[in-house]
Amino acid sequence: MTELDETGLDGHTLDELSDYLDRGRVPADPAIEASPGCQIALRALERVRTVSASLLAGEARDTADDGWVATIIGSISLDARAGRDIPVTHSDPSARLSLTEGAVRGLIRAAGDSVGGVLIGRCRLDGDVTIPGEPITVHVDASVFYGERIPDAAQRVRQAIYRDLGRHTELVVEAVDVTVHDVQAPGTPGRTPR
Amino acid sequence: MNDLSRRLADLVRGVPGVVTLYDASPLPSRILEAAAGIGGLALGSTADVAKSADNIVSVIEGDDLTAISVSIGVSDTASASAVCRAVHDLIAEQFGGPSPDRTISVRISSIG
Repeated sequence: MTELDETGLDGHTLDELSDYLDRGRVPADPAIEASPGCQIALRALERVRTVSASLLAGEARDTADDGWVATIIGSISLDARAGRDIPVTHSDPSARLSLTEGAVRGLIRAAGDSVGGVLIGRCRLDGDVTIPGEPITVHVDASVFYGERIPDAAQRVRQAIYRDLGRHTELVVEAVDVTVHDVQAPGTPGRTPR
Repeated sequence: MNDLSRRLADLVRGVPGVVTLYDASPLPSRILEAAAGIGGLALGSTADVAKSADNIVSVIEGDDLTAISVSIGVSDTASASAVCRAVHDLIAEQFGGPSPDRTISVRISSIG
């Protein structure tokens, strides 16, 4: 079993967050609700649950290889860490405005997951994001669902990430690299793409 | 100090696009507060969060400088950078505009 890095969850674990979702977030846990890392992870977990439930529907779910879901869930806690501060410019030199790297990774993951037929795994920002105007590259790992044309799916992911980063941040994104690690067929074990 | 923090928190919550305020106090002070007892509660416990609610906007006044820090979660319906600037400007306005004797830090910790 792979050991999860859960340092971004402010002392909580993915199991706790998963149980919390099972309970419908009732009663509200103030410590979880007050943790940005937990909030980012909860949103990602909800998307993974929705997608994997529809993908592995019915009886086939019991026999399917859920390893790819575990891999994605593992990456959620890693990406939820606050990480570096990404500056937001302001005309007042005494202003200290920033977005956390964790918030931006969460944004990227949500953008990728939103295109349909894809779930985002690990997400990485390469380059010095702490310097305004410095070009950076975004790397994401993705699982593509069976029946999707991989180049089209990757292009949709790229477009969504460019769109959302352009809207919410001042990052200069030189490239978005999408690596498709596997293809998931409904109710069958994961397959390596050609 | 708590009154000022609370007043700023109320103002920040009213900025369109802001959905959550997180504890913006420096981590070492949170650890010290938790260790100081407050009934021996562990960091991150429910009571710890409730206790810090009055100081959720950090205001640290020194001899020469006042540092105000806020950490927020924003919705994805408005530009996060624009919301960040709007929160800064609203806080600065409360103090009569920009000043070299004051820093205002706004950190966006979650989006969506």
